[in-house]
This record gives sequence, structure tokens and C-alpha cells, in this order.
Amino acid sequence: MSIEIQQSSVKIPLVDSTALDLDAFIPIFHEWIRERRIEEELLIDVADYRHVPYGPGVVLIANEAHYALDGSGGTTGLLYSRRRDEVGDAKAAFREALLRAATAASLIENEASLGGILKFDPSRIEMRVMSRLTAPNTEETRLALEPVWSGLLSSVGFVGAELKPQSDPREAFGLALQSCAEAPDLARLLAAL
Amino acid sequence: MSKDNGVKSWVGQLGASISSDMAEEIDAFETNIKLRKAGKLDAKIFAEARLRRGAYGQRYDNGRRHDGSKTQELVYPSGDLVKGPETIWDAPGMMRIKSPMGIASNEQLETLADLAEEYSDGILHVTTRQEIQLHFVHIDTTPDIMRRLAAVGITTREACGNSVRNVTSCQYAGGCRTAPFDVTPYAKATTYFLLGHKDIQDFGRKFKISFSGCKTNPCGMAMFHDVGCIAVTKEVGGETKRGFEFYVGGGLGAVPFQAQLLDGFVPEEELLPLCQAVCRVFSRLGERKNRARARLKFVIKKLGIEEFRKVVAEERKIIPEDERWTTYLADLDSTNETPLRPGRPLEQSAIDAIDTPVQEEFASWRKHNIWPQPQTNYVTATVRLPLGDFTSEQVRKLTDITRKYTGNTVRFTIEQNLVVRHVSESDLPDFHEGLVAAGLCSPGASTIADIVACPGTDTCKLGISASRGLAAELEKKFSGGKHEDPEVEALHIKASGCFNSCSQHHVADLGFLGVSRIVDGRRIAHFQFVLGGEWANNGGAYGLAIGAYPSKRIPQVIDRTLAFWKKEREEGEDLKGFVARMGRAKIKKELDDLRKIPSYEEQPDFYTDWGDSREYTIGDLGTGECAGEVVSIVDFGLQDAERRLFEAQLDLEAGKTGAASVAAYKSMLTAAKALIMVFNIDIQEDADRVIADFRTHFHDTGRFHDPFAGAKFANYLLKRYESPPSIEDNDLAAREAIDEAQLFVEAAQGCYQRMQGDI
Repeated sequence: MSIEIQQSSVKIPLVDSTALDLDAFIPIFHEWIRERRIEEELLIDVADYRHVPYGPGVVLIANEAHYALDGSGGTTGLLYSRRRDEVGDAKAAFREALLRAATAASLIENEASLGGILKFDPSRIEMRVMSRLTAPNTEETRLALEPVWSGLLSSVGFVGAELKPQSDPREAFGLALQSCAEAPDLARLLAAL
Repeated sequence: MSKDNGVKSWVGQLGASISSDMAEEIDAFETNIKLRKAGKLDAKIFAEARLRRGAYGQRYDNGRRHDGSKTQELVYPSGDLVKGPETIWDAPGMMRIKSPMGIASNEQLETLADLAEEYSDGILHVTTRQEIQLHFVHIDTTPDIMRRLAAVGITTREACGNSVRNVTSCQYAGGCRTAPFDVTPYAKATTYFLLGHKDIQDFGRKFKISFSGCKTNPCGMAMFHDVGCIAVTKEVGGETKRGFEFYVGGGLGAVPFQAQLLDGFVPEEELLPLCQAVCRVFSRLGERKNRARARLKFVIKKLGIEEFRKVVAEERKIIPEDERWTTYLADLDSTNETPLRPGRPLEQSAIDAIDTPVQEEFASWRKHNIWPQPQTNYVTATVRLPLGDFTSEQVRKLTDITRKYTGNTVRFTIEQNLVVRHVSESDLPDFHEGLVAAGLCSPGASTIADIVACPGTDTCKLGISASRGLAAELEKKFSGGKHEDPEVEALHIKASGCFNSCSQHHVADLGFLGVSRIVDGRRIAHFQFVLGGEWANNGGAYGLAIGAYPSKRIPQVIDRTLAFWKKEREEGEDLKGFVARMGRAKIKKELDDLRKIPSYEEQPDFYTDWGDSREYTIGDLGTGECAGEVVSIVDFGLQDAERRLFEAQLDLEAGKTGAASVAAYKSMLTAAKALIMVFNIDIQEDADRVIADFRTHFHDTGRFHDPFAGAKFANYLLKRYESPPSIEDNDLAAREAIDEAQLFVEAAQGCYQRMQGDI
């Protein structure tokens, strides 16, 4: 049975969050807009939240989604947050979110001005569905969505993935990859998607 | 999960938790969205409808954005569909959410957090009117946002547009040592009495009300509100009566006015009928066409306070009796908050038990972020929010803290922070520890490091300079610093992106408003420096405009100014007194070299603004939606001319006759330049260019000529250009210059209105 969701998000943590210099992302994201680096998106603006502790850092605002160097939840990484126009059912939406997040993370890893100092770690990947209407943070939702997300991870090279749901019921439903026997690196993940 | 027609929806989900009135209003708004999408509702009408529901436009919503080298089209999927004039449907917008008196419950905070995550960018922004704004919101999602807010008792109704805006009040009300009584129930009654009231539906402009508990502290800011109420008591027949000093006609913006006292003691039972009478007079006599003069302050300026007082008194007599005027008085305790935990003192042993590295942080936080309450052993704690921003995750951590230590509410402040009241002193170390874990423990509340900024060029369509970028830079500069001089530490900095004064820069010790200048053919972000405003005494005095300085030099401007003050001040002289004694000219001279601009080749980053790597431009300025009607860049320019004229009048009153003459001439040039922008957006500052273009487009074509006076007013400008005013001008010459400038600026307003087909 297909499950409809809205506002799926994927976060790919940084290997070393201390290497992150948020200041660098102001010109980088402006350049992405100027050069239309993400072809699938209408890139609109850069939102600067460097002053907010554990916040979204610097956000690239797009028509369908936002891309942030996010420090929430004790994990710093690239957060892709779909805002609208989901592509289909949960399976398709998760796949699309994972692809967009991995693509943006790859762009950052290869960003010349950063000199290759930022690397992402898919083995700690996190997923959320921000829409509390379509995916309230309940056991029922977990039973419905965990197999979909788990299946997607298996299909792109994650072996033995163990997922942990977000524990605070006030938060949006989410699953964090707690451990796995094998995880693809970013290049392999992108190739598999 | 409830469903409508098999599809999950918030209508079905929330059901009866929304009152039928609110549900009906929101449904009607959603219908408007559908009608607009179907082309069956005029864009301007829809724009007004969404504004009255708190849905604003945002920068770049005209589909154009300058990327630093050229303007790029933003091609949205919605194509030609617009949600207002030149406002593309799909473009992100801003949602303003009212919180009367700045009060929010835990449940309301958590709903706001959910909405920020789902529909915005995960950030809640506190405004200088004690509200919350969400940015980057799509118009299609606004009905659901409104429903989810309505389900927890929040409305966005009349958050924008020509209406009574969020009623503000002292954040300490009910827990304040200097207030004779708690103003909260009165502010609440005023809010809900006027919300949607028929007498406020036909205003020509917005209307702002505030409540203060006392005259001295800067909480309610009565002096710059349309209506400002200050709590007072009076002995009547051996009984202490509650009432209010009732001020009217204050306002900031391009032409700031101090409020005037309408009545020294309005008994509590007369508060609502008097507010209603003032609203009715404003609705009847307020300007409609000339938006630059449509606020209540201009009605009072025109009539004079004595005549205005008579008109209001006459109006009061004819208003039909309304039982709501007094019914709330029977239940004034309904807004009281009960502390969750018993009040106990903080013992030194508890402080000593704090880990050593944290002890210093705790002491620093406690020094400025704590406000002792009159209730024994209770304090109010300020949670300082850098630039007014906090995240959804921080909200949830905060409500964990309030549920554990204090109770059910917080209050947002006009300094873009929030306060948690009724904290038992003995709980402070643990309370602080919780804030540290949430990243909400910034010390220095209400100090020089606690900078207020409007959205500016970050998201506002009208922003000229990066007020938030500047504020972030200054905050870095001053945060964590140990200031040797406590008088410096106590200063306030406020930065606005334009002259509309959303940061309230006029009442800051160090205020800034965004402007721009062209140097060698390149535009450079600047800030006009407004020095020596008074934050205390309800915003008791406005600062003095010193001059415009490049944005990138503002930190130096501050350093230099403070050094000058510290070096030259007299014993016990505060900054305001120093500025008054020293005068503009001497201060300006002290800062003069900071106006210099390095060449582009030498320092290209000087040609960008704070927090933005793009080369600076004003090409992204859009059409404002401040009050439901369009505010074009020409309107802006004309308002700026009004401001300059106002400054000329101040100079004259201060006996600076030559400066008054010069300022009056500049106001004419500014008005002319504003009109020229219709034909030439990049018109430069210099008088030769302005006059040449004015002749070409307005004088020689007769476009500027008055229907009755012909070329008379245009010739005032041309005459002044041929024979410019002198700094030596005497009183007579200055008065003549101001009179002519007044007529010229009004003629410019009339010309622009004719051009728009308004006349």
C-alpha cells in the first residue's frame, strides 16, 4: 500500500563538524544561486542564521526545498528539507529527498573554495517527515514508514541498518541510523540513487 | 485521524477545537485563495485580504533578484499568477502572528515551533511589537497555519494592514516593582474589544497601542504610540482609583513625533470608550490619499492637541453604550499568573556548588538577565535571543524548562527577547543550566550587546541596508566583553534597514537606519547615524541625526563616538546630555574621516554589505505592503523629503538658522529626486544632475505644475538652485526657505498622485 507523506527531510552528518566554517557558506550559496548549481531547483535566497546556537546555520532557500548546514539535534550536517510538491508516495519522496541531499552534500565536498576539508558521513544519516498531518509522531507511523525507509537504505548499499525513532513525541517523526554493518560513502550512495 | 473526503486535512483534524467564528473567517480566506487562483478575484483586493490576515510579501517576490552582477529572473512554477501587484504567487512570504502583550503559553509556543519547522525555515523571529514572524512561507499553506494557530487561541487577524496592530505591554506587568498595578488585564481587554470592531475597519493607516506600568522604565514605550497608556492611581474620596495617563499621536518612521498627553487620568472604566472614541476620530479625520501623512500624529498636528481633545470628547458623548467597556473589570485577576514553585532565596552555598567554569557564566548571566520581582524571592529571567531568532528545537527545550520551574507562559519583549517570570531565586542555577543546554543562555540582556534589528535587506522588500548583518557584526563585537565603563555597557543599539524605524532606532542611544550613496558610479550601503535617543522614560526623546556613514565603517563610527564621549563628557553626563551639549557639528567633525570610501580596486568588500557577499545594489527594492496599499520607491523618496523638512524645522527651533536653510533646500532636492526615479531609477545625489532631470521631466513638460499655481512651486527649487542657501542665513531667510520647501514637497506629493491617476 502506498503511503502519502509531505515535507520529508534528510540530514547527512559531517564527518568532522569542527571543520565547518559557516562564514564560507554565505558566498558559496550566493554563487550557487548565481550559477544555478542545482539544476532541479529554483534557488531563491540565502538566509543567515549563524548567530543562532544549534540552529540551521546558513540556509539556501529554494522553491521546493531548503538546504541548511544545520546544527540541531546534536548533529551537524547538510539538511535537505522538502517544503512542497512532493514527488509521489513515501517511497518516492524518501528517494527524492535522499538524492537531493546527497547531491548537495557532494557539491559541498567538491566545492573548490573549501579545499576538500568537509566530508559527509552517510553512516549516520537521519530522516524526518516534518508534516505532522501526514505523519504524526506515533507508533502507527513508525510501523508504516520504517520499512519504507529501511528498504530504500538497503537498496542503495546500507547493510544491516538499525534505525532509532525520535523519542520526543513533540518532534516531527524521524528515524536516525543508529548503526549498520556497511554504509556506502557519498559517491557510492549517489551512484546507487 | 480525521479526514475530509478521504483526504487528511487540518480542517478535519482540528474540528471543534477552533471557534466557529475563527473557522468561518479562515474558510473565507481559503476561498479567496481559490478565487484568486481561478482569476475571479482582483489581485489588489486579494492582497488586502491576505494582509489583514497577517500574510505579507517578502523580498524578491516580484520575481527578480540581483545576484551581485546582474538581475536574474526567478521563474516560479506559478507563472503569471500573482497574490498582489507585482507579487508572484509562489514567491515566499512572511507570516506575522499576533501575540497580545507578547504572551505565549507553552502549548502556543510548541504550535509555533511546529509551524516554523513545517512551513518556514525552522526559525521563530520575535519582532519589536512582541509578535512572532515566520519567513519563507508559501501562501497556499497560510490557511492551515491560521487553523493550527486558532486551535491554540492565536489569531493573525489585523496583524498587518490598516488596523489596530498587536497591542503591546510591559513584559514585567504583574511582576514589576515600579508599576502601581498590573496593566495586563487592561491591555487584554483593549485587544479583544477592538479586534474586528466595526469602528476600526476603515482606517487610512495602521494604529498602534501600548500599555506601560510606569513612566520611567522603557517597557511600554507610550511616547511613540498612537495611543500610549501609563498606569497611574489617584486618591478619590479616600479611595485609591486606578487609571491611566493617556497619550496620543506618537510615532516613529520618517517623521517622528512624541506623543502628547490627552488626559492625565482616565479612570479604568473610561479606558475602552476613550480608545474607541480616538479610533472613531482617526477613522473619520485621518488622511486617505497621502499615505505619508495618514497616521494619527498628522491628524493631531493639523488640529492641535486642544482641538483634538475637544473632538474626541464630543465623539465620546455620542458612542452608544457598550457593556464590554466595563464587564472585564469584575475579573481583573483572570490574567494573574501563579508561580509553580515556592519562592526561596538563592543561598551562596548553591552558587558555590556550581561547577567552577560555569560559575563565571552564571554570574555574568545573572548580572543583566535577572529582574527582581516585588513577590519575595521571585525573579523574572530574560532569555536573550540574538537578533530575535530562536529555533523550534530551542522552543521545546524552553517549554521543558518553564513546565519544570515556572508555569505556563513566557512574554516576548520589544527588545526581541523573551522573559520567563516567577522563577524562584533558589532555582536559578538549575534554570540557567537548562538554558545553557538549549543554547539560550546569552548574557547581557538589554546592554550594548543586545542589539535590536529589523529584517532589513535579509527579507524585507523595503530594506536598503543590511540591518541584521550589521547587528550580527556588532553583537560579535560587544558580546562577552567586559566593559570597564558601566555607562557604555548600558547603552542601546538599534538598526533599521530603512527610515521606517522598525527597530525603533530613534530611541536608541546609538541608532542606525539604512540609506545608500553613489560614489564614482558605484552604489554603497550606508547607515544614517542617529545619536542620543532616550530609551528610558517610555522612549522619552529622539536622537539627533549626525550623518550617513558607509555600512562597513559603522563599528568604527561607534568606537570613535564612544571614545569622544568618554574623553569629553562632563561629570555624570550621559550620552544624550553629551550630544545635546556638544551639538551635531562637533560630533560630525569628529567622525568626518570615516565617511571616506576606499576605491573599488583597493577594497572591493567595501562595496558589499554585512552578511552578504554580493556586490551592493538597491535593485532588489520592491513595493512595500506596510498598510495594504502600495508604497513605491517614489513614496519612499517623498517620505525622505518629509523627514529632511522635519529636520530643517528642528534646526530652526534650535536657532540653527543656516543649517535649517540648507536642510530645507535638501528636502526639495530629495523630493525632486524621488519623482525623477519614475523615469530614472539610478538618479544620483548631486544637485546639477537632479536639477537637469527635473527640468527635463517635470518643469519643461509642465508635469510638475500645480493646477492653480502653475510653475510657482517648481520655481522655488530652481531659484534655490541658482542661489543656494548659506550656512550664514538668518532666521528670516531660514523661515522663508522652510516655507518654500514645505510647499514644494507638498507639490511633489500632489504631482506624484496626479501621475498615479489618484486625482
